[in-house]
Amino acid sequence: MQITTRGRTLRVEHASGTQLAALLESAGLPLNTRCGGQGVCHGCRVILGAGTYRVGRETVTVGDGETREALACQTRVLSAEARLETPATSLLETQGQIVDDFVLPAVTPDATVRQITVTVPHPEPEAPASDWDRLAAELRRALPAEHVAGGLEALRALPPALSAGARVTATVARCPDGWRVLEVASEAAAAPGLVAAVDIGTTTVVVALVDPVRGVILRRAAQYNQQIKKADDVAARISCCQRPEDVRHLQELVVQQTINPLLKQICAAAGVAPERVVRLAAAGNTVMEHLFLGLSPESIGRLPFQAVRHMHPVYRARDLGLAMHPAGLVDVLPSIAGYLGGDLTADIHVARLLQQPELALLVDMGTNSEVVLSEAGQAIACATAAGPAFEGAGLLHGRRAAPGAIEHIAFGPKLDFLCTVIGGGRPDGLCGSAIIDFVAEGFRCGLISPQGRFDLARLKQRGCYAHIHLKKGATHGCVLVAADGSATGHAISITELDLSQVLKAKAATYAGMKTLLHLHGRRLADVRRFVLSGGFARHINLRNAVTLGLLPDLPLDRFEVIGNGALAGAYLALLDAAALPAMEALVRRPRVIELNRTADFENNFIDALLIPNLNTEEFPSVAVRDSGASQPGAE
Amino acid sequence: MAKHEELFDAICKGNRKLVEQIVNQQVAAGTPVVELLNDSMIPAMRSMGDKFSRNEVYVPEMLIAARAMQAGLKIIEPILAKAGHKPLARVCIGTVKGDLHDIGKNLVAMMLKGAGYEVDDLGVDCDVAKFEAGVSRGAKAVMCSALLTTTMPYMKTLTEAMKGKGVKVIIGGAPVTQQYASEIGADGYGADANEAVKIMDAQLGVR
Repeated sequence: MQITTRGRTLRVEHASGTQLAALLESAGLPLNTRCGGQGVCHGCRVILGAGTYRVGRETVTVGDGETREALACQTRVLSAEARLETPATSLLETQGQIVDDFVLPAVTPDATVRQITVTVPHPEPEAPASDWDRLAAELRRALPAEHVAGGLEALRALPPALSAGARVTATVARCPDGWRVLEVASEAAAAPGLVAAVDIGTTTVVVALVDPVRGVILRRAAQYNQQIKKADDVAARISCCQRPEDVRHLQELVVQQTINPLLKQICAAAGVAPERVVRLAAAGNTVMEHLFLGLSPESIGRLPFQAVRHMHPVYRARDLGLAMHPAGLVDVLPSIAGYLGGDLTADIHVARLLQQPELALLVDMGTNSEVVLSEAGQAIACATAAGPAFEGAGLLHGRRAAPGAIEHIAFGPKLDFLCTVIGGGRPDGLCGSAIIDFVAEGFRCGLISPQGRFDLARLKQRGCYAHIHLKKGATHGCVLVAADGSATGHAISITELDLSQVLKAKAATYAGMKTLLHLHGRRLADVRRFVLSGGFARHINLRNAVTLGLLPDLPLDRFEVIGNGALAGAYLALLDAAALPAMEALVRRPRVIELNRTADFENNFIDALLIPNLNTEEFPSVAVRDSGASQPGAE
Repeated sequence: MAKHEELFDAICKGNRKLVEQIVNQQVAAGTPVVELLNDSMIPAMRSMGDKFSRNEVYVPEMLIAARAMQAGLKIIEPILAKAGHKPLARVCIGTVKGDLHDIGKNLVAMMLKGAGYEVDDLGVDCDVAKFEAGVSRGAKAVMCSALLTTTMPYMKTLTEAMKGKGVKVIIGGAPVTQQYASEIGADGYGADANEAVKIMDAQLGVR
């Protein structure tokens, strides 16, 4: 049986037994099956050419020269030969560079991993003591520590180390029950022990290789979480964990196919073997942490949203299949609730949010946004589902923030669009920070109404109107970059459907913040310190985010952008022995709110669906222009 | 009475305050509320629903319009009840057991009210007993939604429990498909809020 697509011919046995999406994936053409292959998201659309197929429950024969659209996850090939077209929009992007950075509070370094060289005395005939007892006694004195434990690997390495000389270097790790000896070598043969901090994002995974002695980040690399092959948001990820083997598969996707290649890549770049990584700390949302550990997140997906575990013991790298030292240890940051994970714990810790008396708000913006309010030691937290629009997904020409993406847009005097492209060159799409600029600029000049609709006459007059046919029907679009200026050969446009996605995303985030403040008896204008974390927030134009109505209308100097708080938290868990206990202590502090059970939320959400908001008095600095006849919704 | 253009427009544009103002004025002026409802308000929501199906308006505008409609309905509902006005039918709606995601469900509820149905909103996290209570209060159809596959299987439980009660079961939500609806023996499936109204019309044989 052979299938021809994209100029390649795939030969497969028994293709009729396997869905087309899985066949293409195994042939190196993974499609976007973000709904988990349930036929819902239309991400894996293909154009069937000549051949016989089973589409859903129907048998379909497509004749020569004919085509038929179908979803690859619902299609099997029955004929001996088949031709199909796989559109670029259906192909899953699996590569990309995600630049990341974070801001750290001042800490006194006290690494949880050390290398200590001691002189182990020769055994004395009158007071016999084993090799281990003599080493442990020296380590207890040098650390100093009461409890020092050793694993079998360390014991096995001890006799050869001692036979080379009395000077022995031990790699030791601080654990809740004392110090553990991970490795023993003669001083001459000892190699440095490194640590790795990992941010397990739903979309992006970042790994940083750190020298624990100096606290220096040696290398950092990122790539998409390979679980996006299966589903692109947290809810859909839970949805594809119905069987134990599904959980195992997702664990393998994040460990074997995402973190391990990153570890190998950064170690190679640093000129060390991955086995030199002796400890790793990971932070992610509760579902990502569960999947990393191979725990089923299913119970997080239904009331009362319970996790398997929030506080984690120290795990062993080999139990997780990580490409690091065989006796290596793994820390997982504690989570707060089913939808408030270790990444948020890290943000709170890194921002020192609970230590200050003034009213502060922290927002971690992502597919699922989390909001924490803090005032005088009291804290309230909630999660709000923004959807993937700000990460570029779900928009016609949206893409993730990686080279080739339009990152910022400004409007020139003649309604010309000035686009900044990550990495320079011709763009192939736009990312979340660009869509925020576009809507804010468009709203300011009246091109976009408060309802998120285009002034079609102006678009046409300017020559950038496009009537765009989507699977769901036709929509109005604005051509941002003409076909001859893009890297793809087709125009890059923003549609009214895209605008509606952005409005829903920003409304969910703003309504979450407003509802939380209301519950606390305060208003957004009272917030003295506004902390923004997450990779996306690092790149947005704050002024434009206020105009859009995503962020509250506060003086811009009250905003503080901390970058990737999850990675910073994982880094601190390794470099500051006080960090993990402090994080464990803080997870019980916030009162967790279910927004859907809060009466105001839906009203706040609907109010926030307009630009900047139905209640324009909440945005005094945003001039709301009188767009004549199209002033609906304003009250 | 002919269509009250200003009221029709105010609903379509989601101007809640204006809708309340016009409805109050009309009630004070003695306009029969049934006419207001049937000639201006229901056509406004139906028109928004059709535009939604044609991609001419999107969820944000639908939600804003539905909320304005709701504000108008709130004023006339007690008057309608006193006048013995009969809705198209009574239906009940809720998210299934374990599921708290209700924005989609609320939009469907508002659209149904806007289309002339009497809606018994059971809220979130509804077990079979809650839906049964809805049926005992006279619902001719039960509608349920789920956002996650973790809660979706409860729809099967509900569909089975409703067998033989003479009510229609209509389901929806992000992971739900027509195929799933057929598999579990539900009477209907709506891919979006406007479709949910059309399915309800068809299932109950109204319009």
